[in-house]
Amino acid sequence: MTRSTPCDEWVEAISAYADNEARRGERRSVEKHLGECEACRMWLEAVRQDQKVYTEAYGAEPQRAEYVEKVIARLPPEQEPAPVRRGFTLVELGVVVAIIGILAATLFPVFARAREKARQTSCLSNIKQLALGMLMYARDHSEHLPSVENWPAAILPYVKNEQVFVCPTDREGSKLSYAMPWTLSGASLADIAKPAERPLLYDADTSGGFAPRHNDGGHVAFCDGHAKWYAHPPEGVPRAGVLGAPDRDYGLAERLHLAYAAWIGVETRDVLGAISQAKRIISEQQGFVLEARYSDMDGRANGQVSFKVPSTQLDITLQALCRLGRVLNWQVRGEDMTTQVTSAQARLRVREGELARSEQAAQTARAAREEAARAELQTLEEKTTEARSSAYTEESGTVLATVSATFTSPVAEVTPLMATQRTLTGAWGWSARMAGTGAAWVAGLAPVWVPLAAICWGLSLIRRRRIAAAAR
Amino acid sequence: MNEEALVIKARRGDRQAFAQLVTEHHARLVAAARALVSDAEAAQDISQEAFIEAYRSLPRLEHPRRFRSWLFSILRHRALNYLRAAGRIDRFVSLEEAEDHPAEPTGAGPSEPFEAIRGKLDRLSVRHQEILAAKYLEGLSYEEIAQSFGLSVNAVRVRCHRAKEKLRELLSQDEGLSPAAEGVGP
Repeated sequence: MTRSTPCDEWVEAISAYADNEARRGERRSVEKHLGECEACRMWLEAVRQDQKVYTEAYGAEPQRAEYVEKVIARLPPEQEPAPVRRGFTLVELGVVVAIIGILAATLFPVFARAREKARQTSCLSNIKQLALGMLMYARDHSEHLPSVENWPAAILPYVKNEQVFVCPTDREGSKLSYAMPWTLSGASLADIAKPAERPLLYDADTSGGFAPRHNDGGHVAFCDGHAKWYAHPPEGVPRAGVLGAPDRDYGLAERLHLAYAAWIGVETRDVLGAISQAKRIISEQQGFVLEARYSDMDGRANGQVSFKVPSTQLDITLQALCRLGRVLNWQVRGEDMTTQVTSAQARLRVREGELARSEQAAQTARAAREEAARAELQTLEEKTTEARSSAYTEESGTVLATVSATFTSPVAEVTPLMATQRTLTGAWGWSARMAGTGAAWVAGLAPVWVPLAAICWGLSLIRRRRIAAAAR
Repeated sequence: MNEEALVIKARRGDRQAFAQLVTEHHARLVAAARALVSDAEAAQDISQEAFIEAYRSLPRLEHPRRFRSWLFSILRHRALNYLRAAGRIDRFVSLEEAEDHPAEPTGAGPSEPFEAIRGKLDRLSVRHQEILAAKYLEGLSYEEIAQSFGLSVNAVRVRCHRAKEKLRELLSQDEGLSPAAEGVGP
């Protein structure tokens, strides 16, 4: 008996076979099975019959003669076929932009670091050159280094190049990117015990502190002429924002008869408080106030304290004053008083000699001209006192530093209108800065995106052309 | 002139070439439209619109060889839009789901010998109707159907088979119309 239903595992293959769509190699096995299975043969026959019925049922739809004319009449009137528009889709462009962005984001810091490395090398060369210039200066000046104030001018004849004084990374626009420690100002090379460990020059900011501007570090040149990169300032180099090393050697100042004068400007909200604090600091450091002034104009308080303080305490005093507010500016100057001191001492010796001689003469001529002698003696004594006080003054100038400290308050108590204006200005400034930064980024990345954009555009153009050519 | 050359000419705006294409394809296209929408008048309209849209969009056809399957996919979308607009498939149901439900047949009563059979065939679901129309009326290969419908060749093969089983089922309900139906069928 023949089975009435086709084999489940074959029907699909037979169905495809009926459509002439049997898979590769399937055809033969289907034919073989059909030879063996009658039910499947009948199924195939039925499927073919169904196809015929289906095709006839719909294909016999009456044809309308005017169909073609109708369609042609309804076609859009003589128009150029829609132009071939085939560029890049938004998604494609987005992907490209994203890739460029990722590339830029990963590559830009790498480029920046590489560029910084190049500038660092240049800076190291600068500082080494300057250190050698300093040492050459010392050789020509009986082994003495130049002073802190004018070392750049002093060594210029040796380096013969003003560019070496500026670090390529220093963006503050200053003409001097390096500084020498105070302790070495005018020092003799013979006094330096370990030249290889004594910093001679370093990367400095405008306040004279160590400036870590090269990949979070800075360069230091030493008294033996070698230079090196440091992440943290080595001993003898003041940290950024700190005025000199705390153990500064002011003995040198005394030996050299240097008189220090310092100026410091501090911004603080409480000017009166700052003045009283300053007085306390000055008395703590064995100094004395010469003058203290206070004024309040247009809501802006202004205080000034002039004082003298022993040179040995100058540094600590200035550091303490710095903590009273925001430092606006400061300056320390040292003046060589040697000549004045020695001449004053010589004058003193002359006067003392004269006095001694007059006393002797007075004793011998006491009887005869006692009165006149006494008068001369008195004059001489007065002159001696004067010379002594003058010598004292000159000498005391060398141990006492004169300081003028100014305290100002920030522009305070503004009206709401002014506050709004300031906020707006700030916001505008910020957005302008951000826009500037953005523009700088875009411009800086031009070497990356311009060629890429050009390539994309070119490709799309070529593609369009090709399609247009195919259409022709 | 072969079809590809005609398509290229028509793409450049040659109405004569397009007229030849219409002459060549319209019978099959109208039949397919009739199968899909089971309404003779609508089938005429839809197929004409499909031709006009094809003419307009010809520049976007990248491969002239695929003209036939492309034309059929335009027709298919037109037909589905029509069915949706006529409320015969739910416009808020996705296309795939909608195709599972048979379109409600409308249309005239039987007046011709084929009308009765068509009435039966119109009970096929849209999903089956479209694949049978593509295969039997348009004569597209499985691969072309796959491209046109956005399916894999294997899916087309399976769906085509299911459609045939369904067709078999419908036709075997009345043995008189299908001589091969005896003793066969699910």
